[in-house]
Formats: sequence, structure tokens, C-alpha cells
Amino acid sequence: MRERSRTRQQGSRDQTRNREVITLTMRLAAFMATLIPLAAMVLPWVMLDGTGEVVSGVGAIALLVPPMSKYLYAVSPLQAALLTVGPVLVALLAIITSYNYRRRRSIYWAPPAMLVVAVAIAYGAGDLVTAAELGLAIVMAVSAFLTLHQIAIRVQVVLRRKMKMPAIYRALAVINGMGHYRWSER
Amino acid sequence: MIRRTLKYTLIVVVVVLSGYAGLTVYGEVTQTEAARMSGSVQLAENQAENMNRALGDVSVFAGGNSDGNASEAGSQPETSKIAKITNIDTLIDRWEPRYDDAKLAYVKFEAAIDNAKASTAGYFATQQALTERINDPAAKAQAQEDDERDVALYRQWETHANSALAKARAVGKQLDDMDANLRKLELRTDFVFDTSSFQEVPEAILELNAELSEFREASETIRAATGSPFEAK
Repeated sequence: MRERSRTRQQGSRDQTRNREVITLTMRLAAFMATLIPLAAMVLPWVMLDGTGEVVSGVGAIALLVPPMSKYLYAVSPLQAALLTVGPVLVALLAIITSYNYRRRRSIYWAPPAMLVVAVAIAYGAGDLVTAAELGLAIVMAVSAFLTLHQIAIRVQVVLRRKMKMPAIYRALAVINGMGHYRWSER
Repeated sequence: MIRRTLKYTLIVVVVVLSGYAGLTVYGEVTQTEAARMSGSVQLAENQAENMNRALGDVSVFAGGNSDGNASEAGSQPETSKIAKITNIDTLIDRWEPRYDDAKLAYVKFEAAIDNAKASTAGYFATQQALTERINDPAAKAQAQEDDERDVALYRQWETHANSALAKARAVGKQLDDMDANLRKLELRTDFVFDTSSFQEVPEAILELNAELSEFREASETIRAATGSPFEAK
């Protein structure tokens, strides 16, 4: 009887440890994902109309230097602003998200905002840009992934508050890398 | 421990990215006047080519033969299709994207020429300042002669660019007029109950044909004018 209880306890501890490891892994993976848009800043983002030149996220910021900025803003001020200031916004949002993820805080607005900015650069600056390149595609994919992560965190929070669907809550807690899965089922 | 590691990782990434961005912007700011001017002139010529293509697309409304223009030559079946359109909405659906493209191409062309003019002004100012620094009178005279030749070439390019821009502006006005004509036709067909009003549409297309033949000619002139004599690339 005592032997069986000890075995059960041991199994429960192993399960908890496994969950801890998965939670930690997911937390680190989510943090690393927030750094990907920053790394993608050096990859090609868009192909410029007229020059046929491929510019990176950082290169797009450098387009703010005259005389190129004068040309871009003369064609379309809004699109030029999207193209040149957009990468700065993406970088800032990535840093804010990363900083919050480091502190295990959820930041529900930053990843969707990053996705919106990336999509706006790719499809909203069509008069100045002929094609979106790999770097921008990576930013869109990562920000979409982080947006899903934020949605999962929101769902987890709601389940926790309402004390509903404990199995899903626990799974989400592990997947989200949040680690608060000790809430007991009544 | 983990939090600290993540903090340093973030700091390192931000510092590396800021350094790279700083170097890139510095490289752009310290670009030579010649490189800047060469890029601007190239941009103006590319935009002239794009505008020529956009105007060629609009000129499918003009019908007729289109010698020497690849984009027009490929659009012969489309020209005959457009000529057969009797519905104003269908005609406007075909017209609108081409008109918008042509308008945008004009804006880009104008901005690219302004950009090129601004860049060359900087280039010649720098060139003159460097020539002034030469002490040997013979070498200085030779350098001044070279500078003047460059300026003369640029003036020639500028004249061609201005002429192309003026023609493009005139073509743009013709396009605006045609757009207004089409809108008027659209307005009229919306309010007239008599179906005979549709017969006016093919007549309007014939009128457009007459105007656009001039416009096609002008677009060919622009194409020829932007073959830049200003070869300092």
C-alpha cells in the first residue's frame, strides 16, 4: 500500500518536472521568437519601384536620408512614411514584446500591432514597392505566431478566472510557457 | 538567472542592430555626390520607362498600329476588344486602372526628375570646389574645361527631361479630359431611360481614338528624349 503510494507520488513529481521543462522551453522559445523580427531587420524586406533595388529593414530606414526621402515623400507621403518609419515601429514593438516576455508578462497589443505594420508595409506601400521579400515575410509570420500566443494567453486567463475546463487550462499553461498550472480542479 | 540571461541577450541584439543601422545610415549620408547623382539619374530614366509603359497601356484605347512599342504591339487583340465595348461600365472598368497607373507614373516621373536635378546640383558644386583647389594653372584650366563639358552634357539632359515632362503633362491633361468624358457618359447613361444612349458610347471611343493617337506619339517622344546624353554614371 505504502509502496504504491510512493510510486504514485514519484510519478506525479516526474510529470510536474516534465511540465516544468516544457514550460521553460516554451517560455524560452517565445522569447527567442520576439528576437526574430530584430534579426530579420538585416534581411531583404522590399524591392523598390524604379530602382529595382532590394532593401533590408535597416536599409528602408536609411531611405530617410535625402534626396531619396524627398523623392519617396513626393510620390506618396503616407506610403513613404510606412516604408521608412514602419521598420522602426516593428523594431520598437519587437523590443517591447521581448522585454515583457522576459518578465513573463503578457502584452496583448504589441504582436498584433507588429503584424499590422508589417502587412501595411507589404501591401500598403504598393506605389513605392514592387515586391515583399523574405525578411518582411518572416516578420509577418513571427508576429502572427506571437499574436496566436497572446490569444492563447487570453483564453488561459479567462479559463482560470472562470474555473472552467481545467484540462485545457493546464495544457494552455504549459504551451504558453506561463507555468501557472497548479490550480486544482474542484 | 534565466531572466538575467534573457535581459543580456536582448541588450546584445539591440546594440548589434543599432550599430548596424547606424553604419547603414552613415554609409548613406557619406555617399559620394557622384554616386548619389548617378542613382538619381538612373531612377529618373527608369521612371520614364515605366511611364512610357503605363501610357502605352492606356493607348490600347487608341487602337490602330503601334510600331516599335513592345507593350502596345502585344495588346492588339485587346484594342479590338475595347473598340467593341458598348457598355459604359465595362469601358470604365477597363479604363480606370490604366488611367490610375498613368497618373501615378507621371507623379513618379516628375519626382524622379526633381530628385535628379537636386542631386546634380550638389555634384557640380562639389566638382567646382575641387577644381578651385587645384594650384597648377594648366591643370586647373584643363579641369575647368572638363567641368564645363560635364555641365553642357547635363544641360542637354535637363532640356530633354524638361521637354519630356512638359509632354507628359500635356498627355496627362488629355487623359484627364478623357476621364471626364467617360464620367459624363456614365452619368448620362445612368439617368437616360432611352436605350439609344448606348449608341453614343462607340462614338465616344472613336473620339478617344483620335485623341490618343496624339498621346501615343507623345509617349514615343518621351521614350526617345529620356535616352540620356548625360552619361556620367
